[in-house]
Amino acid sequence: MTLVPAAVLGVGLWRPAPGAAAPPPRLPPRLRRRASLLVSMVAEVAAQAAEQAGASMATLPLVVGSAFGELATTMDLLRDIHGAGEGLVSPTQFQSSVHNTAAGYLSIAHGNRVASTSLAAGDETLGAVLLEALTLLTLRGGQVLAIVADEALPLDLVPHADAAAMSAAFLLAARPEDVGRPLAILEDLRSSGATARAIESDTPCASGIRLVEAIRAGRSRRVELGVEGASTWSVTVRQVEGA
Amino acid sequence: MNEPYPVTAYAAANALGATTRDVVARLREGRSGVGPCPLPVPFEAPTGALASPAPTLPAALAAYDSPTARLAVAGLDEIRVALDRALARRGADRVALVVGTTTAGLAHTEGAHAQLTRTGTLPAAYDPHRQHSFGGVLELLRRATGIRGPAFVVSTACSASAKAFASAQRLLRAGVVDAVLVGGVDALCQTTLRGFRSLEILSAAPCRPLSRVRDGINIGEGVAYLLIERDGEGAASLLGVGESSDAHHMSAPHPEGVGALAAMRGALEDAGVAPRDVDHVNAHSPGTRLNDLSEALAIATLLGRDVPVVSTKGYTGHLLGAGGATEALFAIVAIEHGFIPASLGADPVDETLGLTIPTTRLARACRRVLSNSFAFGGSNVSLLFGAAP
Repeated sequence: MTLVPAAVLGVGLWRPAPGAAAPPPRLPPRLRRRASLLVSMVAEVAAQAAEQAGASMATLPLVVGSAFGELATTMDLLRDIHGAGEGLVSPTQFQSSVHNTAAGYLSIAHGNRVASTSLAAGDETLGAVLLEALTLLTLRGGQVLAIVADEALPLDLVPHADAAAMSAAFLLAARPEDVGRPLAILEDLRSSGATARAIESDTPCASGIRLVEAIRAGRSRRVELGVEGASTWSVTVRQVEGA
Repeated sequence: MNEPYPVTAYAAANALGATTRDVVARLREGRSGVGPCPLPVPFEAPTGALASPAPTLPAALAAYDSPTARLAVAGLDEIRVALDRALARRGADRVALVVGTTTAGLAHTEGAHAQLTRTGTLPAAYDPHRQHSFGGVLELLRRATGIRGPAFVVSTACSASAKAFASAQRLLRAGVVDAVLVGGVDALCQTTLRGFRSLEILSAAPCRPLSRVRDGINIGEGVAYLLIERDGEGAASLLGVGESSDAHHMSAPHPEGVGALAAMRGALEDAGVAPRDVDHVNAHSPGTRLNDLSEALAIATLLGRDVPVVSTKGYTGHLLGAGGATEALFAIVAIEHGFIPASLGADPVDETLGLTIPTTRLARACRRVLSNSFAFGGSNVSLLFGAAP
């Protein structure tokens, strides 16, 4: 590939913890009332990464990946359709069930009119997000906010799911040589092209947590961007001298 | 000016027909595919359904079964020769797959959830990873095509498979791959029909986009594939892509069309093409007054009032995740076959839009055609296609 290396200027990480089932409020009240856990998580990690980098959410291009998307909202719609009523659904929930709900909410909340991409690729979602982000940086320079997030799988549909909600964000910039002190450099993003076990995991974006930890750890290493041991995408996290 | 990328093959199936030839023939004839809704819903909802359902999946792929999966695989038939040629010429890891879909296997999950509600248990064979998720559609298509390059689903509601072109163009431009199979696919399902009904924008009659008697949209289903390559023979090329966000509202377009204008302007600038050189616009126009007003303002501002503007939603219904790719195909057909289709249902035209809206087919050599797709979340994209030099 011919993609440029990217400087990591900020990261965000949020997952439920005892006593913290939902992230802190990051959206204006009129949007927050209607926000799913997925939207709230994306808003939280986006804010963490942008604050760390001192970047403005009003002008950043977003790449948002989620393997399953607005699952909880979709389940509510299915319960409305198959429930005791007339089978009609909430218009607000319907318009908030699309995969780009989080990107749309962030755009509205921050007046951001820059284009965003919302995508999915099973266990390879983080790889696809970084590919889209690095492609944007290669062609346009500047900064990109790359995000992955998934809600826990609903036990209705996946009775034995071993899943927990998670979200992670990476504020990336082109031209690391021009950036004062990046947290790390991401480079040599590669895919083996294998297709085995691309959609088996109940926590498809969990590699986002490992990537944040690797960036914070202060050691250079290669990180698998899918399920450990079965990943097709990987990237090198290079620590910066003196950082 | 950026490099144009030839569209070396394309295919579509939707309410107009199960083959590209039938789809194009009915587009030329000005005949709608919209008819009665095949799904049981407690309201009138004409839809653009396939005349007969797509065939079941071959046994080796049956684990991925859903209505969307069946459409996705059926749509590959006509493009397979060209795709295999590209895979052999470029190497399978130098070909990418970017697919737009909004529902993936939701139609199948609806059935599983209905059984769960009725009996307390899911169907034994139900597999949310393979039959519901976006990744399931992706893995199915990788297995069905042999593509081994980057593969992902773009899902931005009604602009999904037009946004797929933006990602595809970037993959080519950055040198990541040498060919991209761009797809769009969505099957009819209860959730979308009932959702648009709840938003009070579903019409109880065949839709009338751009007409002063319009009263809402019809939902359709379909699949389209376009193979875009770094070089090669094709009747038309992808010249430019423009994208924007409205930052206005989840389900209503910006009233002044700022996002639509930015997307169209971006596509022209990306291609280095002047507004006066656009010969035809395939509008997003799904059949709502709000969209028509804002899109018309943007078109008139950028391109003036004389360029023929057509909505093809009257032929197919609103194809959601399949819409962008299908309408890209219609833009290419206009270039290749030298006609601008009638804007079906637009008569009597909404004169307040101040646009040129043909209500009968125009024989016209088109060299540059814009195709607009706008979506929930304010996700806008405009694609510019041009005749081969």
